[in-house]
Amino acid sequence: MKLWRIALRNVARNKRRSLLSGTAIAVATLSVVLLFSLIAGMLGDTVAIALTYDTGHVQVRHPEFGRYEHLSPVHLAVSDAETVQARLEALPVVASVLPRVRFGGAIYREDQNHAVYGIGVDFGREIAAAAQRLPHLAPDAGAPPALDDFARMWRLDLFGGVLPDPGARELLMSKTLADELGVTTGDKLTILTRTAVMSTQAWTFRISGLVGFPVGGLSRMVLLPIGVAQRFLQLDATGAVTDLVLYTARDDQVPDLVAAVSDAVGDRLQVRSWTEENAMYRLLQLATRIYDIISLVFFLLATTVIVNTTMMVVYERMREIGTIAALGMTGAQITRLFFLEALFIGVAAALVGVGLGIAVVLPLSQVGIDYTEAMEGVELNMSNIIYPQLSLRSTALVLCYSIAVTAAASFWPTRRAARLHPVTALRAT
Amino acid sequence: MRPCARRLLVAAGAVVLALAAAVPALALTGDEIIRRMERHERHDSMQSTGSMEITDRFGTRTKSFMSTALGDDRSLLEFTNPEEAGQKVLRLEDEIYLYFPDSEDVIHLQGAALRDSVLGSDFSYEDMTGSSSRLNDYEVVLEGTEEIDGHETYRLRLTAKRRDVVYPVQVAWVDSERFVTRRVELFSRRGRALKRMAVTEFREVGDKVIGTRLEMSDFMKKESMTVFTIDDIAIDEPVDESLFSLEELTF
Repeated sequence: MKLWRIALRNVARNKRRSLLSGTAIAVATLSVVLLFSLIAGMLGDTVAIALTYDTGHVQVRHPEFGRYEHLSPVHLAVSDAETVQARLEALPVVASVLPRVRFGGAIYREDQNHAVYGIGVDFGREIAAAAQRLPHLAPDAGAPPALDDFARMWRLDLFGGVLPDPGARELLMSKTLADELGVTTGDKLTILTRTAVMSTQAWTFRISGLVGFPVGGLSRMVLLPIGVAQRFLQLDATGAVTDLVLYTARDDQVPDLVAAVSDAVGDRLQVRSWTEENAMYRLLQLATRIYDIISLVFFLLATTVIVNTTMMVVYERMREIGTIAALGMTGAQITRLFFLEALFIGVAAALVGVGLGIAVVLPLSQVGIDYTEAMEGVELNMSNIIYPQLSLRSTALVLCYSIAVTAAASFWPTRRAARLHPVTALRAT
Repeated sequence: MRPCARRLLVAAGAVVLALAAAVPALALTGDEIIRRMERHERHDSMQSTGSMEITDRFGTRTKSFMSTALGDDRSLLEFTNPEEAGQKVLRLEDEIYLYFPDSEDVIHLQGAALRDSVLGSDFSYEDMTGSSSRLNDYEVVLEGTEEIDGHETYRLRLTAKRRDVVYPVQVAWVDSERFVTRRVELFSRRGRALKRMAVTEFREVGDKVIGTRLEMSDFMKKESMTVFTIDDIAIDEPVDESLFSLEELTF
């Protein structure tokens, strides 16, 4: 009889023991698949946030802006932005360039001071640039910019209204902030800010629409037409913007984009890629390394179960080992037999673990895991809903890894079985 | 009398005279010093023009203003430099209203918002517009005398009587000759230094001595100082009361 058949029969014969070993491996595999999918989802979310709201692939700014960003230093802006923008758009590696004006301000309402963060954007350009990156979400060609298109491209929830009129003192407001202020679409409010000439300025704006940002850190956001923002902040005289956000066609072209843009703008402006600017992404990359170690610990724990049960098998089956050895089975064959038993359990359990992992992750990747309550009051650059992402590569790796660990873990006890002398084994009670 | 004994008598007499001269000064209580100081600082009305030179990590900028005050609780500040031209700050008792020419609303400040900075300077709205008597808000203790910038001063510790007072503790150095403030340090309830103000120039207006150059540093801001200068000042002259109304503010 072939060894693998005997091994299979033994696995089936000791169902409870096989199930115990298999469950440990399956649970470890399932946990690691879930963990990796969640991390992949968080990384994907961070990338989407950076590309949409923050830096794009590459961000061009005044060299000092980042250092004082918490003070909203709009006077540290990119002057004559249109000329710089035209020069950058001419670079072959550049897919699109978006001018933006970021500022901070305060809204005094009901005797309370509410902090507000604003971005002046060109809504039409934003939709067009996002459509290049996300063609499946793109609006009909030639359609005028509309709020639902913008909300779709910017992953915003829509609570009614229209895009601000490009020349009017109108803005889109975060629904969270609007609720805090007790205002809604059509209402007016006054924002106080410090301008590029370091003066204090207050303008009254009409709320043209309400949107929900997926990120807690953006809950105090207002979006207004870039020309209006420039006039509000007295940047219009120099045609300045605080950010130029650049995109390239593919993520792997970012190093080329950084090099080309750096050459084009020289030392007078700071050029940073989104991975350099994004602390959350770097943190998650570090977390991925840590989770690799945690996965290893999971498997080590599972390994102790495998070693334990295989040892139990060897001790419980001493007479059997003695019998098959007396019948002529060599030590190497006995080793192979027990190794195959462990391997079959390992393969089956790893497949079950991966299968269960896929079964859990696939629906979660559609509905997401809602952290809204947990994230309340936390201003992190992470979405309130995380959609786990199943990676074929990491799932296959987990499968191979769990089988390899199982096989390696069973090697030592099976070697012990092979070393037993038939007479000693037969005497064992 | 022997010459030695006579010398001793003369010396003793000199000591007695010196002590006698010092007694009136030391006999003053903290409250009395504050009363004499506030005789120079509190007016029935005041009109002035001046400027604020604000220096921070981003450089120096100057804001000019016109100010009118009536009694302790009504004042109107209007900025006249081109960047903030027409912006006004109206104080009516404990409430402050900000008027911006480009805004449809008047911004109403009260409570903690009174501590917000005026135009990014080291002065808060409370610093710029409040002028009620310190004796209403603080217990005053005379801690001794010290020399500040070559002038003999009384060192006073003012501790707030109530929790809603903006600066819970103040230490003030008051010129012992002219009874004007030379320096004030402002502290939180836990003793953390918040601000320091030094008065470096004075002008006599009638029988009052007015500080016309004040240097204020807010320790909560890095590398920051504001120099407040009064160019012209008129005290206790008639002022149109209608200036201090919301209707007039937005007119």
